[in-house]
Amino acid sequence: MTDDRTPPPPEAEPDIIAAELALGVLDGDERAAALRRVLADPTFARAVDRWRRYFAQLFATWPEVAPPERLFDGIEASLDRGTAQPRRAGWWPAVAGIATLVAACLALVLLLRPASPPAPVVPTAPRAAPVLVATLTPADKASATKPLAALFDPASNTLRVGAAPLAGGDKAAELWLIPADGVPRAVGLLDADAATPLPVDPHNRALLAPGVTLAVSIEPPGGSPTGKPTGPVVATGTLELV
Amino acid sequence: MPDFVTAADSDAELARERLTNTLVRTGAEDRAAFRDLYDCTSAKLYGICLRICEDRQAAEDVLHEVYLTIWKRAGAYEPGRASPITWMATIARNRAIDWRRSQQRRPSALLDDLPPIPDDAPLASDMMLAEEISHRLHLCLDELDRNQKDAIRTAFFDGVTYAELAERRAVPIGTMKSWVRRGLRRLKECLDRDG
Repeated sequence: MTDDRTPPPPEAEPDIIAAELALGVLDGDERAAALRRVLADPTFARAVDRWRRYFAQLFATWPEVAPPERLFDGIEASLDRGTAQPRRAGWWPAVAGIATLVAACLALVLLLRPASPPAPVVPTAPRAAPVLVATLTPADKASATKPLAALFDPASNTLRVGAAPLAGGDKAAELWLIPADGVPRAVGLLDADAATPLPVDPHNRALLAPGVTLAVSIEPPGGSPTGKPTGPVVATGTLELV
Repeated sequence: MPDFVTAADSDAELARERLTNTLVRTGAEDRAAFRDLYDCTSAKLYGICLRICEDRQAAEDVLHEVYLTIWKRAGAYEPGRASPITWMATIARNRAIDWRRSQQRRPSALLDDLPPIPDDAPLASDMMLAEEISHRLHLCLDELDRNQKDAIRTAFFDGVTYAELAERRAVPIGTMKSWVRRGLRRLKECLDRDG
């Protein structure tokens, strides 16, 4: 066998990277790079989708195991309370750890720092729906652009993003959300000079959850003509619970 | 024989259609439909959570989260894009993987009584899974070398990354990447060849 050779660099094989992303073997920078590519390259996004469908055939062989009988009562109780929290605090606090707190503080600092007139104080959301934050980092690490803060406020149903001087000249910066299925959904155009409050439509609202990726692409004025990103992706980040 | 296959196919279609309806009604906040949906699918989704989390309490918590997510997002389900069970199984696998990767330590109490994953293609009698009855991926996986096939199956069913795959098999990560990438290349050739 020649299996101990160093694997060839896969950059030239987008379909193999697409398969790796769909299978879930990538982590860290490799995963982040592949996710950015999903946004920037529609052919790559289709390849990831095709591999997901192939691998989904394996779900059929996954053995069933009956859950404990009382479990559905707990789910119903959560629905009755109108809360998205499981009955035990359990593991979410561990997920929403220090990194999230840092992101949250950064988000608040950036959002509250007035551009010209003071920004309105971010209202406290009711407990029913969680406030989500993300820090959108420029794809080009050498760029002078600062990270952008994004904050979803369920009380006003608004996704608020800091001033985004990302698109030059006659171009527009468009915000996308990418849930687990990897398909980008348009959210709206970002203002270069002031924080943009974007209303979230019900379809997108149902998809907003911790772990969902936000990304900004450069588009023609007025936004992408196709409903999918057509220009380069210049910043990405992941939504987290505050 | 052809009659039997046709009957099974149409039963599977009916089952899938029923499940799609149940999911769409759940999206309209119909609690009775949600209960039906849970009864039809919870054993499949719990099997997924349990295998990936390797911890019963965590699997129960993740399953709880998964059904709350399904309740909230069912209104956004697009029947044309995926079968209902694939849509739900994908949510369960992703949530379980999120939990697994949020743990500092790997689960220590390994579950030893999990049912093994059958190596064969699924039976056509698995009515709920009409879409997944396609055997192509299984046939193509069977063409791979043992190391390649095992690594790809383990990555899917156990929800692990290259680093953990390599650790489990006690091989350098480069070797593991090489096995998986070669396996994926051959899978692609096989899947493309068969149409």
